[in-house]
Amino acid sequence: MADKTLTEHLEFLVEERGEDEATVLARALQTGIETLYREALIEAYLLGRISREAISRSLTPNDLREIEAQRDALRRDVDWGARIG
Amino acid sequence: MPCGATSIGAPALAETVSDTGPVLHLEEIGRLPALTSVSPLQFPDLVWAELQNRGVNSSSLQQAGIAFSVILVAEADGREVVNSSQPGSIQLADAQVFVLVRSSSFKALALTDDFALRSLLESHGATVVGSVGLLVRAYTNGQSPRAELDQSIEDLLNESTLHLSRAFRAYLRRLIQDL
Repeated sequence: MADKTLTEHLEFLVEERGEDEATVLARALQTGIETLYREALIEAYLLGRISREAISRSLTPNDLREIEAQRDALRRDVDWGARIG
Repeated sequence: MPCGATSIGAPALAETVSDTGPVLHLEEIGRLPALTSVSPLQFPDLVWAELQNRGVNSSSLQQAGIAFSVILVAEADGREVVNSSQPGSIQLADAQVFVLVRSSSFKALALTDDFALRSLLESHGATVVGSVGLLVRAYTNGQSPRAELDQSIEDLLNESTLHLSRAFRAYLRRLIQDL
């Protein structure tokens, strides 16, 4: 089912963009790798496997601030729960 | 200020104001009783409407032992909050939560899984808790054994409509593991 959807989406992109299939696939691969790389980078930072300096070379200051704010919110949530209420 | 209150099942003495997310997400994984430690709850009317639209009703809350009331919030009050926030960041139902918490001088506990609303409330000094915090509190209070907490967190990540990216899922699992 997922393969069928992917095929349909690829056909749509080829037709809509007026590009050949190989070009669309190459771009999809690049976009996919970039998305996965970013996600892996964030995960590595959150888990302490890479430094703030290292991740700040790949993310904008705003994106990094947002990630840290969400990280801190999640931590506060767990901390609140861990207090005896 | 809220312009009126409709009480359904509880007096309007709640010190907890809830957004849609935590109640919906806990209901989706069968863990509504995790809300009992912060009951009674106040729901702004739009939040209650959203919950009902998603299948959460009075009887499901009452069966879980949760007392609650529904508070009618003046539309103008909610609109004022929406209009003074970053465009698109705060929905009207979220704004109603803010209005009710503000009416308690930000002393009421706020329940939300919405990051923008959490940030807004915390910037005024409110204490904000989400689904994760409630599940952890149920474990801390002895309401849930450890295995149930672990399973509930996995269910929250995999079975509920709460969205967390893969990176934040890994981070949350680490936080829970370290408890």
